[in-house]
Parts: sequence; C-alpha cells; structure tokens
Amino acid sequence: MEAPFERIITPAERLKMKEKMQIDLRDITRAHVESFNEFISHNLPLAVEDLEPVMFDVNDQTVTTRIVGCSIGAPSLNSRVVSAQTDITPAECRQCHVSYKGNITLEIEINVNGHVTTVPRYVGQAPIMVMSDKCILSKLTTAQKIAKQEEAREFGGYFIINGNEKVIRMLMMARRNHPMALIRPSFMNRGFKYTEYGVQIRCVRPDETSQRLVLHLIEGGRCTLGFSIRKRQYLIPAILLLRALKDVTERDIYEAIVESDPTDSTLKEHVKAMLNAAPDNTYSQHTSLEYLGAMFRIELGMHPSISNIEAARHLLKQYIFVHIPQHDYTAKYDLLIAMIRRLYALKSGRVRADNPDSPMNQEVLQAGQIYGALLKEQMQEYLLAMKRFITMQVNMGREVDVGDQSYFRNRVFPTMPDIGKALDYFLATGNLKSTTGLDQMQAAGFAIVADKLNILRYMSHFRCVHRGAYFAEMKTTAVRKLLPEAWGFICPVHTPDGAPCGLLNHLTRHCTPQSKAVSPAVIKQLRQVVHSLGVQEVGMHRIEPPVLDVFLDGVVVGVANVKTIEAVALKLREYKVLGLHNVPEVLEIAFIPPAEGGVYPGLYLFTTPTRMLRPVLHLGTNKRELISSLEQVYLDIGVDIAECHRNHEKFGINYTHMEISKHGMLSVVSSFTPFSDFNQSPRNMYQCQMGKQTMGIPSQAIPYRADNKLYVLNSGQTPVVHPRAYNEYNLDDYPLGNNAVVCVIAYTGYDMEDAMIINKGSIDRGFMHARVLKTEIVDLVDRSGVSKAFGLLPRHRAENSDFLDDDGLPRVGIMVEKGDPFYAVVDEEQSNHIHRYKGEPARIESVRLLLASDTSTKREVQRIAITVSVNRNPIIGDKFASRHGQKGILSQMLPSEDMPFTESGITPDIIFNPHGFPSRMTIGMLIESMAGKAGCLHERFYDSTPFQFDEDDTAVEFFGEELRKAGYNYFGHERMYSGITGEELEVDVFIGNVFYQRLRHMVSDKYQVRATGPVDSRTRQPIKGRKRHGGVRFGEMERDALIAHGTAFLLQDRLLRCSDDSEATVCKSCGGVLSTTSIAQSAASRIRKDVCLSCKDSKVVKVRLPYVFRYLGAELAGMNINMSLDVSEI
Amino acid sequence: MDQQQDLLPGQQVAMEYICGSCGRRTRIRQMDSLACTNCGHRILYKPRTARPVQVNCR
Amino acid sequence: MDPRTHVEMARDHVLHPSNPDAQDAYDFQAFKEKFKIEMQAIDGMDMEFDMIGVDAAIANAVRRILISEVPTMAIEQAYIYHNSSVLPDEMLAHRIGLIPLAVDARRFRTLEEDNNEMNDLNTLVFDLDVECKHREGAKAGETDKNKKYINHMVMSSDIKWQPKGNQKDRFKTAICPVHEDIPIVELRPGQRVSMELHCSKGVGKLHAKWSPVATASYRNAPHIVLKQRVTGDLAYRLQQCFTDGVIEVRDGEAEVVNSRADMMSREHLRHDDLAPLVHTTRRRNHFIFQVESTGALEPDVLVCEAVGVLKDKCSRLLDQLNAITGTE
Repeated sequence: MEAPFERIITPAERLKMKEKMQIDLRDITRAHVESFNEFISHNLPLAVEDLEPVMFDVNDQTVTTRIVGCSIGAPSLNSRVVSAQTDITPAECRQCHVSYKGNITLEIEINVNGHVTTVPRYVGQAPIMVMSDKCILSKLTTAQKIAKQEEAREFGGYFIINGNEKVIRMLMMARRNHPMALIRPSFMNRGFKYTEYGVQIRCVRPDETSQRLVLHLIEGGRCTLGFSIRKRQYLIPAILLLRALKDVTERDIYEAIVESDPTDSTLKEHVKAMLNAAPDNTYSQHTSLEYLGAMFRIELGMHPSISNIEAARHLLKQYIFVHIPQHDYTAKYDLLIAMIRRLYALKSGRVRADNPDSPMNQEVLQAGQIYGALLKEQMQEYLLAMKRFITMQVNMGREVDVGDQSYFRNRVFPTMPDIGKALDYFLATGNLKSTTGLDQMQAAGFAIVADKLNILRYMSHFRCVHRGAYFAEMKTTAVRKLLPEAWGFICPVHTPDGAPCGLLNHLTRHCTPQSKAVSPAVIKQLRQVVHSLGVQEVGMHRIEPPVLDVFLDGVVVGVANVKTIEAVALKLREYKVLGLHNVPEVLEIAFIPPAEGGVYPGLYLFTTPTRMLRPVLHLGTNKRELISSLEQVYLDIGVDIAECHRNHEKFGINYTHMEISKHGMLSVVSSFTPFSDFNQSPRNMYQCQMGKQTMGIPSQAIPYRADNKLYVLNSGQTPVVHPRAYNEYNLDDYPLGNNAVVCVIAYTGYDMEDAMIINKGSIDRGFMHARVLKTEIVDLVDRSGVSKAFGLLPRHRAENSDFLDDDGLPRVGIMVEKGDPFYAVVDEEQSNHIHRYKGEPARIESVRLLLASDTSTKREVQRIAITVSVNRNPIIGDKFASRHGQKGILSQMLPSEDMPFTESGITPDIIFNPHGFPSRMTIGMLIESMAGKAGCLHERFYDSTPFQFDEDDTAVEFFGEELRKAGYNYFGHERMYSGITGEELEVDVFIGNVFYQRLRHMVSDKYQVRATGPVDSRTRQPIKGRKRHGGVRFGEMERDALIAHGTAFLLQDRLLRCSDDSEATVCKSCGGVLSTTSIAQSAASRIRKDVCLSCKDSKVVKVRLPYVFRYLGAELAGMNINMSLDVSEI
Repeated sequence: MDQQQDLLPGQQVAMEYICGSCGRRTRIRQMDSLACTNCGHRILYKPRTARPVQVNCR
Repeated sequence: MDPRTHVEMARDHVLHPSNPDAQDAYDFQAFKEKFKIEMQAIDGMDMEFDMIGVDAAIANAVRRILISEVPTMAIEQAYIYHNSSVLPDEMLAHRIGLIPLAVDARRFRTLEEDNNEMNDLNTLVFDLDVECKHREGAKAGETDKNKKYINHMVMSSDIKWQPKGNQKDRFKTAICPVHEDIPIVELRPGQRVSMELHCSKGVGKLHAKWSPVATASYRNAPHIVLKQRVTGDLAYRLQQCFTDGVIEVRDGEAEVVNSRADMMSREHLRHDDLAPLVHTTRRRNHFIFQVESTGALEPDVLVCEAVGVLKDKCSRLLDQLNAITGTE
C-alpha cells in the first residue's frame, strides 16, 4: 500500500519525502530495455536454433548451409575503419550523428556432401538499445554516467540511429496462444459457402516470432484452418490436420468434439460433415502426412531428397500451432479439437464472440520481440541469398567450387546483404521490409523519434501503445472505444484528440508488460501442480459433463468440472501470491465460469511474456499480486477499504483484491495534472497533450547533445501545488514552467477569447524567459571524392574576421544575424566559399569538431556542429497554458502600473478572462489557484493528487480555511484597484497562484508576411509555405466576404494584381489565347509584333488575364477542347 | 602575392580546441587526425572567442 | 454613511466605488485646506503614509509615476570576456541587470541627453571577474562548498566599480549594489565569469530594472464601526474575523481599536450572526500609501521625486494648452 497522504508539505519535509519516494526512472522504459535484454540473452539463441537449414545442389554436390550461432558485439565504430579506439559512447553518437551499433557475427556452417566447415562472418552492425545489457551505460553509477556525458538518471530504452533517438513503439497484439472466437463478415470472402464464424489463435514460438491461424467454418459444418506462408494464404481441411497430427479413428474425433454437448443434434450433423470432408486416401496419419507433404513441398522449398512425410512434418513444425514443441503432436491435436468445439459453440450461439479490441484479449508487443523477429528473418534471408547467388553462378556457367572455403570468403560473402543495414533502415524509417511480414498487419510506423522537447513528451514515447496503423484507416470507431476492461492497464485520460484518438494509448503508471519468459522447467512443474490439484489428463478422464478445458499457455493440459476448476483457481492463486510450489508470480489465472451466451468457459493459465501486468493487493494474504488483463475481468477488486466494506454490506460483494492506489489508473503524464478529479474530463486530455508541448529543461546534458532544435526555459520553477507523482518522478530535475499570480477578471478587453494579459514587469524580471538551441551539422564528406575542408584563406580573413576565425569556423559567443558569415569552406580549386547565416538573430553557443561519418576513411576535420542560441523571451502571440487544459495567447504585455493591484499592492502576472471557466468547468484550476495562494502565504507546498477529497471533506473548505488562517478571504477573493483609474473595482476578484506552462508554439516560428516573392512556375501564382517565403492563401470564403461587402477593387487587387496578373494576347478572329505569339517583323528587325499563328493574321489585342487562365486553356487543348475568347474594343 | 595565398587547406594555421572528454587544449590542424592528443576523444570544442561580446541586460 | 465620502463593503463587492456625487470643479483653496499627508512609519527602505483629501486620480498618478517614471541607474550592457558558467550569456546579463545599485540617479544624465555617447556623466562602469578554484588542503570527502572551493558562488558583492573621468571625485564612497548577498551564478572549479558592465540611467517604463520601487501601492482607509455592543464569545469570534489588532476585546467587550490595519478579508460577512454587528466602509479620499524602495533612494525622497515628475508633466501640459490658446 502506498504511504498515507499529507496535504500540507513544508519545504523541509518535501526534501526528505522526495528522497524517500523517488522512483527509479528506469521503470518507465523497463519494458523496452528488458525485452531487448531478453532478446539478446534468450530469444536470439532460440531463433538461431529455429532457423531452417538451406539445401541446394551444385554440380552433383549437395550443399546444406545453416547458421549455428549469432552474436552481437559491444557498441563500436564500424570495424572496417582501422582505428586504435573503436568503442563508442551514446553521447558521442548523438553529437556526431552516427548510430550506436555493435558488430553482428554469424557462425555459418557449410556442409558439402557431409564435409562440414564452420566460418564466422561479420554481416554488419546491429543497433544497440541504450541502457540494455549490451550498452556501456547499463552498469554505470550515476557519477559514471555523468562522466560519460549522459543524463544523471538516463533510462535508455531507445536506439541511436544517425544521432536520433529512436523508439520502437509498443503495439497492441491479439493475446498469444489464446483461441478467440470471432464473428467477422470478412471471413465469408475466404471461399465458397464460408461463414462469418472463425476461431483465431496467434501462436508464438519460444523465440517470440509468431504465426497466426484462423479456423473457418463452412456452411454445413466443415472446417478449414487458414494460415499464411510468406504472405500467401492457405486453407487446409481441419480433418486432414487432425488425422495428420494423431492416428485416431473417426469415432475418436467425433466423440472428442461432441463430448462438450452431447444433446446438440446440429452439432452432431456438423461434425459428421466435417469428418466427411477429408480428401481421398487420407484415412490414416501416414497417408494424411504424405498428402500434406505432397501439396506443400514446393511452397516450402523442400530439397528433392526430403520425403513427403518429412515435408509435412516440417509444415506442422513451422506453421501449425508453433507455440507447442514440434514433436508434441497430441497437444496440437487437442488444441485443434478445442478450437473446433469452440467454433461450433459460437455458431450455435451458446457462447459469445470474443472482442478482439478489448484489452482482455490483448498483449503488448515490445521492442525486443519485433527487433528479434526481424533479425531472425534477415538471418534466414542470408542463407537463401547464399543459395540464390551460388545457383545463379552455376546457371551462368561460372566456376563454382563449394568445397573451397576461399570461394565462399572471396566470392560469396562479399556479395551477401548487410544485415545491419536492414535493421538500421527499419529503425531509421520505421518501415518494415519483410518477405514474411513478421505476422504484422502494418508495414510502416514501427519506430518513432523520441523527441526531447521536454521530459513529459520524452517519457510518454516509452509508455505509449499503438493499436496498429491498420486500424487508423478503419471507418468504425469500435476499436477506439475505451472499454472497462482497460481499467488499470491503459490510461483513460491520456490519448490524443483527433485522428489517433483511442488508437494511441498510454500504459498506466503501474502497468508493466512482462518481458521475460518463464523457464520451461517452471512451467512443467506448474503443470504437475495443476494435475495434483485435481485436473485430469485429456482423454483419460471420467467426469460427468459439462467438462471444462484447462489451458496452460495455449496448451490443453487437462479437463475438470466447474467445481474442481473453481477450487484449482483459488488454490493456484494462493500458491502464486505466497510463492509456494515454485508457481511464478507472473502467472495469470483466468477462470471463466460457464454462462449461457457468455464467453467460452474454461480455466486459462498464462505465464507468457508481453502480457500487461499490474500490481494489486490480494486481500486474503494482504500481499502484492501481479494481475493481468484477462483475469482482472473475473476478479473483484475494490478501490479502497471503505468501498470494500460498503459494497459488502450493501450488495454482498466479497472483494478478493484491492487497488494499491486510487490514482493508479492514470498514466505517467496524466498523473501530473493537479486536482484532475475536479476537472471536466476532456480538459485533462487536453492537458496531457499540452504538457507534452511545454517548454522546460529537456535534458541535463544539453551541451552534449546535437538535437536539431532544443527548447529551453531559462528559469523553471517547482509548482507550489503539485501531485505526489511530481516528487516520485522528481520532476524538479526537469522543470516545466513558472508559478504565476493569476487574477480572474475581464480587464482592458485584450483578454477576450482565450487571450491573456501578462504583466510586462513580470516579463522584465524573467517570467517565462526561454531560448531555442538550434544545431546545424555541416558535413563536407563527399562520397564522390571531392575534397573540401573548412578554412578561411588569408585573402578573405580581414573582411570576415568579425565573425570567422582562421579555421573558417564562427567565433564562439558572438551574435550573428541573417546574412553574416557563418562558416567557410575551401575546395580543391583553392577557392573559398563563405556560407552565410540564415535565420533569426542568435548567439553562437558552441562549435564542435566531430568525427566524420564512420564509413569514411578520411580523417581530417570534415564535419562540424554549430549550435546557435536564439532568444525567445515572451512576446505577443506566444502561447501559454495552465495545467488544466486552459491555453491562451499572450495578447498584451501590460505595464505593471496599469495592472490592477490588491490591497497589499500585488499586481498579477497573468490576467485570465472569467469567461474561460463556465463552459470548460476546470474547477481544478480554481482549487489550484486557492491552494497556490495559501502555499505562498504559509511557505509550504500542497499535495494535489486526485481523489484526496470527497463530499464530506471538500477541497474548497480545506483551502478556504488555509486562506482564512493567513488572514485572507475564505473564497480566494480580494479587493482590487484599477491601475488605470486608481479607483476600487466594484466586484471582488478571484486571485491566486497557478502554475503556468509555456507552450512551444511561438509567433517567431509562425508569422508569415510577404509583399512579393517566389511564384509557382506553372500558374505564376504565389507559392504557399512559410519556409519558402510563400503567401497566405486568400481562399473562397475570404473571396465571398469581399463579394458580399461589395469591395470590387479590393477583390481585384487580392485575386489578380497581387496574384497572377499577366498581359495576354488574344486573336480577334479566332479568339485563341494560345495561338498568339510575338515574332520579329523581319530577320534584321528588332521590332516584334503579335500575330496569331493559326489565323496567320495580326488582328491581335492585348488583354489582362490571370496567368492560370492560359494554363486552363492549355489543359483544355490537351483534351481536344478549344477555348476561344470573344474580344472587342471598349 | 602573399605566399600564404596558395596554401593548401591542410597547411593552414593550427588552432587550439578543447577536448570534449578530458577538457585539455589541443592544437590541431585541419589535416590532422581529429582526436584529442591526450585521451583520443573524437569530439573537440572550439573555445570561446577572445573578443568581448556585448549583451543587453534585459 | 455618506456614499460621497465612504465606500460601502459587501460580501463580494463594494457599493458605488466611484463617487456618485463627484465635485469635478477643482478648487485650489479647498484642496489646500483638505489635503493632508500623515507619515505613519519610515525607515531606509519602507514607508507608510496617509494621503488624505485627494481624488483617486491624483493618488494613482503618484503611484504610477513611482513605479514607472522616477529614474534610477541600472546595468544595461555587459561586455562578456569569459563565461564558462552554466548560465548562457543573456541569462547571466539579465540577472545582473536586475541587481539594484545604491546610486543617486539625479546626479547622472541619460544617454539620450548626450546623443547616446557614453561619458562619465551618463555611464558607470563595473567589473565582474570571478574564477572558481579548488581550495587547497580541502579534505577528500568534503561536502561543504565553502571549504571545498574558492569562489563557488558569484555574488552581487563581486561587482566592482571602476570610476571613470572625475567620477572618483564626485563620489566619495564607492558605488556598489544595494545588497551584497545576491547570488548571481554558481561556479565550479575551472569555470570563470569575467565581464565589464555598463550602467545607465532609465525609467521603469522601459524596463522593470529601472523601477525605483519594489512596491508602491495604496489602499483606501478602512472604517469599521460596531453597530451594537458585542460581548462574550461573539466578541472573540468577531476579533478573529479581522486582521490582528483591528478589534480588541476589553472586559469581554469587542472594541474597534485600529480599523486602518484591516486587510478586508470580510470574514465576518460569512457568519450570519456576526455580519449584522459590524458596518464596514472605507474612506473615499483617504489613501494609505505603502512605498518600498529598491534601495537607491529613500522612499520619502522617491515620493518627492514622483511629485516632481507629476509637476513637470502638469506644467508641460499647461505650456501646451497655453500654446494652443496662444495661437488662437
């Protein structure tokens, strides 16, 4: 349980508290880092083991190639660069804009007619996750991290690709190894008479690669199992698979399926139909395997020496129920039977379809898994590429000697793909280039830049879970819905509004997806425990129906009746919580009781990774228990003790669990909103968005970064009123705004419509001062070999010496403006090119000489980073916001003598218009205002964690009383005097302290003006875009306004004169605009005259036309439509 | 003509830079291998200009 | 109570804050008779005085001028030679600019008066040069920064005056910041801050650093009257509703002893039993002024200066009015 809340916190207490409560920031990226570690230590060896050997014939020799080992080395510079020092730090990578990678070495085994050789081979460099076990920072202390120029509390979880911090986004996936009954109209398109019913299962191999299977129902009762091989879809009759998996009679199959409901006659008919659907001559396991093998051997690329039976076994191993070890066909058979039963039950309406959009049926795919799957595929592709290359060489008649190792070394390997490049491309672009698709529904958007605008934005990148790009285009909004099953796992507040609403969610603070797999030994033991508790083996039981299945990680481990299962579930939970019998703490025990029309019943046990886990309090033992999303639905979890007692007395609910904290259902970012329980809910969503756009101190290692743009608030403060989470995450390290005296009053009229007035005196004194650090990387490395270097030749020195040193680089610390010399480059011809500074006036913050790109062999200074600091103190038009979704634009910097002042002479920093409150209902801001004021008066902080007040103990009463004690008005009102007239204002003014954030949207980045400028070459109309010095569109609605207003001249000025006004020549006789031209009167004469080329006469007049009209004429002419103008003299 | 006019980039005057890791000052020329002579670090900072910089105190 | 002289206080508003029966006609004789200044308290930095018998307009004019138009000296330009501190140049300069200087601006001219040419009559020059070093002989695990480092904190006292021209003769005592304990920036060994600072004359209108006052404000004098005798428990509760010292309970009976101390929380109006006992009003033309100097000049001098500026403005207006009437 969390520590009790103190509403009042003195500064001294706060320091102590912060030390005690501070959370390890690594918790934020734990899922990322651990999944990567798991990939390196656990999944990678398994993936290598699972790779298929590639067999091919070369001139009567059979070559089998396989990969027997893969290792990823420590982060280093490209091994091809011969350098004394190749180890590299993340800080270096960020500044030099290179990638943080380690060498991949494959152990390739080449078997030529039984003669085996193994060669290690460097195949590129793999990006390494910062703070993972492979990273040099992982074991360092805080002081050592600082010495390595890192953040003191660096938490990693990202890759560094070309200097950018890249995060692999977590993705929502269907819960693995869990059969889900689905009703999908699209299933009907699979083939003739297919129904909309299906049972889907996403099977995941121990190495975390997955294979999806769908069991379809065909009208009449036949079933087929659908799956894909290299993105191509295949359907196999279920009966064929059942026979291939186990040598059983039709009667066995019939009974196994009908057992679940012996009274259902339709079911019996269905099963019979299914049994009859087997292809001819497949009535035994052997013949079925033979048949399957014959059908699939080409698709699987089987070598001729492999028998059909072996090919079929290969198919079963690689594609059918891959989560079950390959030789356990009985388990695969049992699972298929269970799925068929479920399918028929769904058809009959006895059970409900599962909701694939519900978090209870989902898990979270993490960085390590997808990265591992890609690497595995690349390794397989490597072998196939070898085969392709050698067979191609053979076909071309080249000399191929596979027996000679030097042939491989000199001819084959150098032409092989660079695996590192594929990984690099994946992380750099987020696009997946894959032959199998990796069982993903999308091909892009996997990796995003973790931009360090401020700490909130940065942290939220590691906490966000995307539903999948596929769903973003869906017209239905069902997938975006916030479901009650999400409670405690996914934050209900923190999702953007607009296009990605509900698809881009964030994990709650306490939710961590499981990363590590439970060892097979523990699972085996668990299976024994389950049996010892009364669950009987499948097929050997004597239990009266109804019989329920017991699943463990997607394997049917046994059956039992409802009563036994209920007892087993209870007992298992007890073992889990108390840690008895080696039952793992991550075990999920979901007992779904039978209910007519409910979800298919059974006991589902899971230990598999990537499930979302969160801690709750187990009331029976008073211990912490990790629960997951499927079991949560069937547990009774109270919010607090009072609720448990109340509902027990009122409704007889026996709670088994209790929440650890009331605000644990919020995400990291939304838990920083003070008094969010007082606000209208959308306002809290807006704050989550705005919090992430706030200027603050983004990093403590700013000099050692080379981000494109870094927004820095010069003097951030600790909010007087902050929630507990603020101290837990110690956001004092990364401040996000200033405390402001805010008075709620309509004053001067400049505060209408969300505009706000700021006291100029406050700005003069440093309120919200900020700067932007822009870094420009200049890279002279030219692959074509042209040699350039920085430098200022003596003849140019004098004129540029105010700005440039002799090395051609700017003087550090000086001010530069647009057009000033910025840096100078000397090329091969010894000519000096001086590049000039573009952009706002700025100060040269730093000039860094960087190591050139890691592939270059040149060693001289060819790459530099120039960082400039642009002053961004508040000006009219900048955007500010309180922490309650109340944003506003600075509309006036009012001199402090004009500001209203209170009885004690205080002038507010900010004037907020009272109309901002009634419709938005951000009561939290009002409470914060009172609390902030009381905090300043009493020299203390106040806790603003949500849900600490209730109807019997209201916040207004508490803070009103605090204000009264300080001698102030109970309601937070004060008497004020107008600073302009000097008279007292008639009505009291609500004034208090509110923490304000400065948002990154600033006029300096947005204002756009132009008189003349670049035009579009085709239409001669002004181009758009601020960057290109374009114009502001004068659109249809603006046009309408001018027409309605009757301002004809203004209309002509805007739309013609200031746009594409041109002089055109029109032929009087044919009316053509395009056929006219001007020609010289004679070869010698310089006088030109206008003629019509088609009429061959010169009755041509000049008219003023929009140039785009001429373009219209040309386009029409292209479609064989003539445009003719009827012109006459006025 | 001044002899310096035709200097190759590599023959230019050596300038002093500060190592990003050990903080020592290193004299390097443009053609020199880019690394701190003391610790081998590969990022060097240009020192602040010796001229005073005028800043408005607002 | 007369609405012409008193403003009535309600729970969340006041009744007729403007004089409903204002006498716009200005009568110098009447003003002279009614106008009064009563000094309440004064020390080097703070002052409280009552201005009685004027309109809000005049009191406000004095207040506004105090804030924005009485000139002072402040550091305006920094010529930075070294700055390896954690603060960027402009932030450091901004911080230094806000440090109040103990110098009488009346003895200087503005740069504008000299066509922006600096001389010893319009500019003061200061030096700031601090370098942090390890203190020799400090223990290995020392945590006290003072024992560990030399100059680990740049303070306002490090700003040193460099007299130019005949400034040394004109100013007998060295010119320095008002407070010597203002921290400017923390340094660590190897870091150095070195700069020349130019100080010029200006007014608060341009930038708050030239404002001579930290606070200059006034309030109308409260006037609290008990409508009836209040005794017993009620008396103590009533006492609690006002700022300390407003009501005293003597022999079990509440008594208003100092109504001017009340800060108008109007807590008593929240209680149904206390509200009818008291009548709270304010005197319309009685202003309690609070002036807190930043330290360059004494607050009383500042007020006189402010009145001087007001006088100048008035005479300028009169001149212009006369000029208009003269041309007609």
